[in-house]
Amino acid sequence: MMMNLKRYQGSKMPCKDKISIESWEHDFLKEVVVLVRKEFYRVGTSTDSEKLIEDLLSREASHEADSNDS
Amino acid sequence: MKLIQMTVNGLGSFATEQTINFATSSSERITVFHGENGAGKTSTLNAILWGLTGQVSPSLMRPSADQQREVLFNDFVLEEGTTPAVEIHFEHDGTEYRAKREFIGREIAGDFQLWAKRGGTLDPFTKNSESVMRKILPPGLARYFIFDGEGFSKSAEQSESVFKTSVENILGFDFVKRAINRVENARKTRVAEVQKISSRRIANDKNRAKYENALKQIESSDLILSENAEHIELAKEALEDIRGQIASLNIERVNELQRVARTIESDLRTLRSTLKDFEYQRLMLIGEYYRPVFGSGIISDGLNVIEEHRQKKVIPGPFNKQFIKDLIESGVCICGDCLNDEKIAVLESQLQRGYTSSLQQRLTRAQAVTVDDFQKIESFKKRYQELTIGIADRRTDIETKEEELKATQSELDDFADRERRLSELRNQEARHSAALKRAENTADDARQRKEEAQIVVRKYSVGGASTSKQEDLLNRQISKLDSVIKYAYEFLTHEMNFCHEFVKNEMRDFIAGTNIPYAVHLDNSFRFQFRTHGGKAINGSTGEQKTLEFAFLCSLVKLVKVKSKDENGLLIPAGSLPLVIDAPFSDVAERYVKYISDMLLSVSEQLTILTINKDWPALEQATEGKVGQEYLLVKNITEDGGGRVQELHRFRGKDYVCVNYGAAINHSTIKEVTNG
Repeated sequence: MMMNLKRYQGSKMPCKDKISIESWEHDFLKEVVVLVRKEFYRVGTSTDSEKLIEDLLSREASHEADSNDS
Repeated sequence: MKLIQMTVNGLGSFATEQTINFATSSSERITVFHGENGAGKTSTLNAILWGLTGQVSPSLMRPSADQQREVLFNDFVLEEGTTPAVEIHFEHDGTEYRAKREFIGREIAGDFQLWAKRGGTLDPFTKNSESVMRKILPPGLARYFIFDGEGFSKSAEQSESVFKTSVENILGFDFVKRAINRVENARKTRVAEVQKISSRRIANDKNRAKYENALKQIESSDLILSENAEHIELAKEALEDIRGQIASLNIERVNELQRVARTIESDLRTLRSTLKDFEYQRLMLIGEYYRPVFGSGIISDGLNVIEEHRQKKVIPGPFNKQFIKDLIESGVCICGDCLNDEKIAVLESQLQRGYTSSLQQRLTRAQAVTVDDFQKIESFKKRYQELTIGIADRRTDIETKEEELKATQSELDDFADRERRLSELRNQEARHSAALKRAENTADDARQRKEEAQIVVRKYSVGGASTSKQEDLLNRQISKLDSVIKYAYEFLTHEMNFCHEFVKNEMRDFIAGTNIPYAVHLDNSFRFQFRTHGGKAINGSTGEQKTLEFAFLCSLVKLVKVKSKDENGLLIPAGSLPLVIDAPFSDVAERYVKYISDMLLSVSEQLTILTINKDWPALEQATEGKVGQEYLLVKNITEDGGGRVQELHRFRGKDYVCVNYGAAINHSTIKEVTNG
């Protein structure tokens, strides 16, 4: 999926016009962002995002291991 | 989100419960509150903002909780002990909600409860009312949709970066930045850990040399032990064999044989001595035998001579020449050594003959021989025979013994070889024992070295192996976090560029819709200004500047609407929000009121405007046909002494009477303005 920049997607953009958001980095960041928002809204605690990052890294590691296995 | 109804009591200048309905139709979507200064515009705005978010608009913010409380809530109500409260009904995504916030306790945010209408009834959220509300109206966005127009201008003057921050806050960039910050912290933690491990590893590298040397030592020791085990085994086998061979060499038998040999030799010596003695006695006897025959003189002389000659091994004598002649003629040597049995037999035969003839002749001739002589001769003869037998026996014995000795010697000769073999075996045994000892010492040494090396290996092996693994893992994680951070910044840059481009174009579009003759310039910090078409910065009139500010604000509102459709999940999907603006048109010429209200209407589905009475006519004209609800904010003043002050207001061509009750305690009321 590519973000639709509509008419603003143009030659004057100082950085590249399109950015892929199908990457695992995006999913990783998204999960942290969602949790940070929850923390901000006092739904979670400040340590939740740290724990989440640990979980995401270990999840990524196991995913990587699975990929290697296959 | 669309506001439906609000009931407020105890906030700002509202000392009594006031209820208002918001315009909800899409055509007539403006709700207007107008009144004099101090009649309750800001109180109304703050009632909406506080009711929904627990926040206060920047113009009413105070440093301490007490001051904040005094400014936000109505003194009269607080003194009365009534609970200040705001209740707002609104609709969001097709669901009707009821939100109620009460000032209970000391926390300014008070107590909040939210209900949602499900199946015709309002059900309360039991736990997370506040968080549900925050999802509907993100606090970061609220102050851009419910805001003081003058405050906006002031904040723009105060900080150069306020506009960029506004863009970031509106879309939730700050959350992304916080997330990046968390990821960066996680990265920092790992980098520090890696550095720690790395320094440990460097120290371990030195130990690793010891560790590896120790491993080599173990290997070498094992090899030595293995080879030595073979040597030891071989040496042991050889020793066993040698000792077996030594055991087979019967030392006792040798000793016995030697003893036997010595006995035999002793016996032989005795026998030989006895034999000689016997032979001597027999010779003596022969001599004795001759005396009777040849005279006594001959005996002693003859025996002496015989003995002498026997010892000299020559035959003697003048004294018995005849006899000697006889013997010599007979070819018989009569020396002791030569007198073997054969010779003696010959001699005896001759003597017998001689005796017989010569003796008879002499006996006859001389009559010298007495009876005793015959008896002696007989005894001599007897003795002679005895000695002869004795000699023969001894000789036989000697022969037997010599044979025995020979056999013993022969056996001893065999043993002599065995002794040589034994000696050789003893040497071999000593050599192999020494070799075994050396091998065992070497093995002991190797074992000791191996044990020492194993201690070194145990000491350094665990740290070494795990260190590297942990370091690799952390480095992989750092790499992943780097990748996330890189992506995040790329995303932010990209989004910010998009927003910049969007806001710039929208502002230009808005301004293009007016007769303002300037171009819009938006720098990278989202600071905006007019420029002449020649590119020169220029300050517009108050109205033009206000229009430009609202062009920016409306661009932001539009941006939120556009971004609400984004599905990347990183920004805030706020969707459509109602705009509530306090005093947007201060000191603005009529045409700019039109521009601004047009802009506001173009970007909002529901617009609430709080304005002062003097600006209302222009706004009324600009928003004609779009106002769904109109309210008059009435300031009531109570004077000491009960004097009544009446104020007259004219709206929509009609006169309204406002009654003021004095200055000591003032409160506002809201009156709906209807065509009736």
